[in-house]
Amino acid sequence: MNYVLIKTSELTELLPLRCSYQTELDLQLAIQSIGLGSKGSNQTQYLNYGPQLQSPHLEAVIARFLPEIDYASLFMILNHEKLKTCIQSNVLLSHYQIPPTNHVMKTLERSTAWSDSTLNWLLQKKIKPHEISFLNLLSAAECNQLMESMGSSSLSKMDSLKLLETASELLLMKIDISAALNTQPWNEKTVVEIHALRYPKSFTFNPVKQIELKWPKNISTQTKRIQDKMGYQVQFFVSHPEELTQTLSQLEKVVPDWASKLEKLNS
Amino acid sequence: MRPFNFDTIYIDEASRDSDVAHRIQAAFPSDKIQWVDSQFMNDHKGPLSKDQFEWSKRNVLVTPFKGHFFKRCPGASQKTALTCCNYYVLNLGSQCNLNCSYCYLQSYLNTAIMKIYSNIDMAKAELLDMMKSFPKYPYRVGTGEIIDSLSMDELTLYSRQLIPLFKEFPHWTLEFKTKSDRVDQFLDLGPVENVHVSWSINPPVIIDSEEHGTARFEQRLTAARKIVNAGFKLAFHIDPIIYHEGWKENYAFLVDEIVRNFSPTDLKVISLGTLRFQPEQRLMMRERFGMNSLVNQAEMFTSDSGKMRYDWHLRTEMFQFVLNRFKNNNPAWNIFLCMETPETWATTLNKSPMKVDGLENLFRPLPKVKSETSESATAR
Repeated sequence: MNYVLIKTSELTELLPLRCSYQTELDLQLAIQSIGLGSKGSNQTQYLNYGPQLQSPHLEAVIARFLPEIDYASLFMILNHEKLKTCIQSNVLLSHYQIPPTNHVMKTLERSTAWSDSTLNWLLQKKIKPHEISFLNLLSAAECNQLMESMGSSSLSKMDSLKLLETASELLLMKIDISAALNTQPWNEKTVVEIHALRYPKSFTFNPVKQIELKWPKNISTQTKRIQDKMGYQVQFFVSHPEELTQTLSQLEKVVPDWASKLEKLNS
Repeated sequence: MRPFNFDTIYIDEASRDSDVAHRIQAAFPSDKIQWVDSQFMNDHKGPLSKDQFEWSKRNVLVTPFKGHFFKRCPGASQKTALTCCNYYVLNLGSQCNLNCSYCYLQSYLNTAIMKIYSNIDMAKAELLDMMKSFPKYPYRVGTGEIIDSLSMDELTLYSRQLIPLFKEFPHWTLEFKTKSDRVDQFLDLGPVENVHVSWSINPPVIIDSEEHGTARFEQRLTAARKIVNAGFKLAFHIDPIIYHEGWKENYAFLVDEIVRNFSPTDLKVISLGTLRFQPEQRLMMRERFGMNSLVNQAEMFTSDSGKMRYDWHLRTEMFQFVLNRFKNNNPAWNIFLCMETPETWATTLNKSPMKVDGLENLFRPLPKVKSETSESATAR
């Protein structure tokens, strides 16, 4: 088992300056919370002379001390000259629910070149390094460009990840996406444009998009994708049983029309 | 024996006296072989990187297996999302010396070396125990779940140990599933009706671009013909069906070649499946095979089972196209869908598998095997 002798004051200096929880008190509480240095002289010893912590404990202390940590800070800790000898990267990463893969380490390393706003954006969206590890197949310059553009967007986490991945695939396919990339900030329109570039025939084989159905007047419909299925979301309002019977009867008339148009399309 | 392209064969000291270790020593020069202890390569945890995965395909460890050999097919654990047949697997090794771009082992394996399990006697004992307990049940057992059944069989000769065992229990079925054409080593044991040899097969264009290191289309058909002639049953798995420009022409060619070379009586079943993979596998596929690979080109969606799949309408269209091509030739072709949803079954075959002639037995519930009962006891 590796041991490290670090004063708490020294540890706060080693730990990332980007994080806001940098007080001795916070660190002391973190040490106490895992059952170390919680009483009298032990605590004094930790604070004044530095704790002797077994490395699994040190990882737990760091995770408690910094419940949220940006990628660049994590990378700095894992590669710090003094800390890296006593911290097991997989143990520390597991505290943040991050799998310890080579791709994760590469993502963390690359993040040291990203601006604070991008790192903050990743923290706000709670994006884990393995969720964007597809970027590692790009050159560092391409990856940095995408991430810096992303940092200023207001897209949801799901749309952001979708956009990043689709854009990265297009770059790998050597398809020019500069027009879409240069339009800032990125928004829902950018997601649609990039998707259309990646999958120009996306809906050509989808009968729902190709068939026009005549729905009853009191029915509102919307084509919608749920996972691997494209279909209709059908909405209607009824106020008494007879009305429901009537509406269902009208809806039933759509079935043969839909079936015959589908058959015609497939023939 | 035809050559194998291994960098090094590591043999666990615990396997020193096994038949497979003796055969390897006789077949390979001593500088290709290294003796190791039981801890060798045991420290790896978590998913493999691209380089680790590729290394694991070129290096093999002969070692005893310490768990249950006989298990249910993983598809059966997703009963709520998928309609799966009663299939059991007997794992006699892990990892595969072939190299398909879509292979699910890329996101499934976390051992950093290909393994051949040397304690086949234990596997046989486990099987025999089940066979004696349920001799009349139609258990179907495959050896090709996490390793190709036959691509290294000339080295292990495990087929020659399993075939006589199954011959004694005619209600049980053994399936060797392969993309190789290495079958000569057991042909003399036929005819055995309840031993099936099946090929995962695709049109030549897919084999050439996506199934690296495997037997080519014509080689597979030639080996399949040998199997029929020797008195074994044959099966084809047209799986994964891969969408690409010209897919209809290419899958029509595949079906036409099968119906030209074989009859419905030669083939026990034909299973169909479309491309599917765990979301985490897509990075490995891009990294290892590039964006020109067909598996990285089509649009995929997350499905109820959690896997990435083609759009449901496209899947149904592909299934119907292949199915109709067979059925228009002869309605007797026995076809089923692999790892598909109940809706896809209903749309493609117009009925649930329990009601399809010739398929009822595949879906009939069977008694649990030991690995299942011990797992459920642990879960409780």
